Amino acid sequence: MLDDRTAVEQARRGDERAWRELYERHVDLVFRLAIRVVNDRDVAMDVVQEAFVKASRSISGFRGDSSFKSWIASIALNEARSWHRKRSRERQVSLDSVPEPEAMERGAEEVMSDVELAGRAMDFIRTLPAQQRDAVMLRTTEGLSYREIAAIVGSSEGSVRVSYHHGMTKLREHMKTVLSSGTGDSIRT
Amino acid sequence: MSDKSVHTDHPNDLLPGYARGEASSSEEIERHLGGCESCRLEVELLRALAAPVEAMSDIERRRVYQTFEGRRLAGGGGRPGSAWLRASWRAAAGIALVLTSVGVLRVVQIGSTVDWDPDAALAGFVDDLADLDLSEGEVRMALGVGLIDDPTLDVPWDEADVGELVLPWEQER
Repeated sequence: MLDDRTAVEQARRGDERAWRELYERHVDLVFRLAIRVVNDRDVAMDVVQEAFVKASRSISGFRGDSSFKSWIASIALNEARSWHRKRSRERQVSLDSVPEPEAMERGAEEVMSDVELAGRAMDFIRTLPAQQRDAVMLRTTEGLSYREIAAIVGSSEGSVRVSYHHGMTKLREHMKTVLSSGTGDSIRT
Repeated sequence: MSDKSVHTDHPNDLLPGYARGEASSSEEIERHLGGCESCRLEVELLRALAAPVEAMSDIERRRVYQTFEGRRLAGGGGRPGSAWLRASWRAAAGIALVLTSVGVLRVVQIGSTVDWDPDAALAGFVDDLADLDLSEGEVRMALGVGLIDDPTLDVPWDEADVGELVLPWEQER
């Protein structure tokens, strides 16, 4: 098995085996990032495909200052953001007057499962400003360090740390509201 | 305990690691969690968010790879479902034209007394493909690598090659 550095060297020369190794090694991370941003399995697979195609087009300019993992993750994140921005613009118009379906369907006494809790949290994370969203998502779902996140988003560690804390503060407040309303007030049955 | 009273002591930076069972100072964190509702909520959230998402299946991974590989060999152009798809259909149409012409030749040959020469026909087929000026990626796409939607027709890695094409005269054998 090739290490990433060697695989990248060979991939630059168009070696199919090297590309396959890079793909096999990093496709799961790329897919997880994509699906967490776009929240759609088919779109996430398109994002994966597009990320690797873009990587293949740009590999000659990849200097190796960061790891291939960070590089491909940053490409995937950009692709996913791009799709998400486009989708958000479309939804803004069509959903302005529609109440949240979860709020209408949930029973007041219903206990929120971990899956639902994560779903609610991710829904909110997707609405955060991009820097906060990326920092919170990469740290909470992938367990990446501030340094790794900085390499992916092309920012400084300090900036990522600030973005993460701002994002998490908003997320905590939002989830407190969601959880408290889940046992009483604003949740309709 | 009020969150505000211990605000400066919140171990927020350590909570993601703790939620994943990776923190080295878990006793200290647990002491804090005992009196801090805000951090307990955060840990609960972090654990929920860290739950794995359903990964791509082997078939999905292969299909995405095959499409990526086809596009890479074609020069990385197009997008899924748009220009890329049109390019693959252009290639498919071109190859279909060549195959049809080979088939017509075969019919003519059957009607004559001259023996059919598969090697010569294959050479002509390859020449015709060359005349179409298709890239290897376009040929691969046109031949189904990256276009196959039915899992039962999925092409195994080692067979995903133009050489596996069954030509008309081979089907008749």
